[in-house]
Amino acid sequence: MAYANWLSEFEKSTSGAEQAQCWNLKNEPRIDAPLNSFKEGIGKRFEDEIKNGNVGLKAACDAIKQAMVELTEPHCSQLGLLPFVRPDSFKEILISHLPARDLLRYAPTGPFDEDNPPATIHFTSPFKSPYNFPRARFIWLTFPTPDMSMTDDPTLIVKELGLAHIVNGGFLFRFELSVKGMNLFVPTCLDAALYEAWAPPPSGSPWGMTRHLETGHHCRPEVLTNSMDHSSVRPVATLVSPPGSRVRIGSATIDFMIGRA
Amino acid sequence: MDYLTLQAMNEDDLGEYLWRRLRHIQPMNPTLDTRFRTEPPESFIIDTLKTAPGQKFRQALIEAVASNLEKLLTFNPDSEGDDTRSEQLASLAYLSVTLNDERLGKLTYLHALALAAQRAREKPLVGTVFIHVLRALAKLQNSARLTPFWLDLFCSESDPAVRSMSFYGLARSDAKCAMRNLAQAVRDKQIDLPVLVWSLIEEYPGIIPLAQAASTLSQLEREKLRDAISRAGASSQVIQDFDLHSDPLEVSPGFRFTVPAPRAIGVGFKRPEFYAPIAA
Repeated sequence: MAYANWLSEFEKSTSGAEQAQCWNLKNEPRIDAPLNSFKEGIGKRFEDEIKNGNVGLKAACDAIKQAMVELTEPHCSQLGLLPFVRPDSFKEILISHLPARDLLRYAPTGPFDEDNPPATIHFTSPFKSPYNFPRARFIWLTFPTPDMSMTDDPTLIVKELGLAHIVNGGFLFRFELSVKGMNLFVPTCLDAALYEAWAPPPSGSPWGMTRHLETGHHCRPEVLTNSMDHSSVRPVATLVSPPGSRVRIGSATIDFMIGRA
Repeated sequence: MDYLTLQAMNEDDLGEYLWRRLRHIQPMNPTLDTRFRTEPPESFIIDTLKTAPGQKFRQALIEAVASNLEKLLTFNPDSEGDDTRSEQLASLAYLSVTLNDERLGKLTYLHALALAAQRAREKPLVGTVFIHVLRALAKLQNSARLTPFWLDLFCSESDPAVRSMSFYGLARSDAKCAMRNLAQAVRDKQIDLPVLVWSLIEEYPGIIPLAQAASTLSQLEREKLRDAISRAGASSQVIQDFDLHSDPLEVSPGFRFTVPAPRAIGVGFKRPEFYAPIAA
């Protein structure tokens, strides 16, 4: 009941991001019981907000924000619920991306500027280690498929991977991680903390699928790996740019709701 | 909080806002993106700066960063090793580089000395704070006065990222001195050489002096340096310049980079008493 009350308020939001979060909550068929528990939690938070004098849509937004913060806690029991079953031909070297600013800020290997980075950078510390990238349970990984190789166009890759949080005109880096012998997970809406640029994959997909920022189409495969499994690894990051050039991430016309029927 | 609201703040309010945000004091406004990345708390401020018209906000921010750096020097002296303090200082150092104002150099130097002393007492630092403070100091120094500081650090430091940053600081302080010590940097198996040489090419001293200094290296070292330049993403023209000016047989004596006899580095240096006030 509390959740239904929350939902009726939250659905009044005109924000595309909040509408997409709501859509993700309502269209995640793979984890019924944990999702119901999460929804009950939102409803409880909403009731608390109302008791504390908060009202209407603001109370609903505050309630879901608090619930989403809980999902970023590394030890949250509602994360990593769908184990990934590797197909026979699965390659164990997967790929992740991050912007130059985050690389420089959290794993500075030497003197470089976010606005003029070298093409190759060695991490000085493990990616998403406790001190450098706190509160991150997973590293999100993708991989090329026979139908779709990795592109050197940073704008295209940001759009195809649905990286709405790094459309900033900066430079993009890519690095590889070996996941041999490690547990992998298919991301759920809880793993994604209801991220507005994310959507569940089509039914029957063996892995997650990224969502194109502008078209909403499912684009590239995605799986999750535990950050702590890579705590002794120092990856090498390379600039994502066509050979012989230094191309920044361009702008994107983001529509979080496009294609969500 | 949005860009316009932040840009309208006076210096005092901005200083207080900065202090609270960089120490992660809740409520954070705007909240940090912790879902898909760990957003650095200063990112919102940097993005606000990039959209601010004129110099008013930049000047107010310089004052706010300076007051925060000053306050942090004496704040909670028993908290060495405290990760909140380290992250706050790393953020302030990062902001200082973005602001690129020499007035922040003196305060950055004081923090660098304090951190160096802390490390010398074998008290480990949390995270990447020392690197960011050194990077800010290297960028904001305005003379060769810190040359002994950089050289001492480069020769004595165990962390390769600190050694790399020290060499960078040395190159910006006294490029000739740095080039005299180029062999030591190239031989260092732990330094991320492509990152270091990229800054030497793009900032100081540039590809020609670097290549001329490389002409005194062994062939193996020159090849290692050339490979690093290539992996850093240098253009074919830059690599061609390196080849032309680093070949010992091709370099005319008149153009040869002067390399004095090696000096006893790391011994007998006197640290500068103070990073002297910068003339207005």
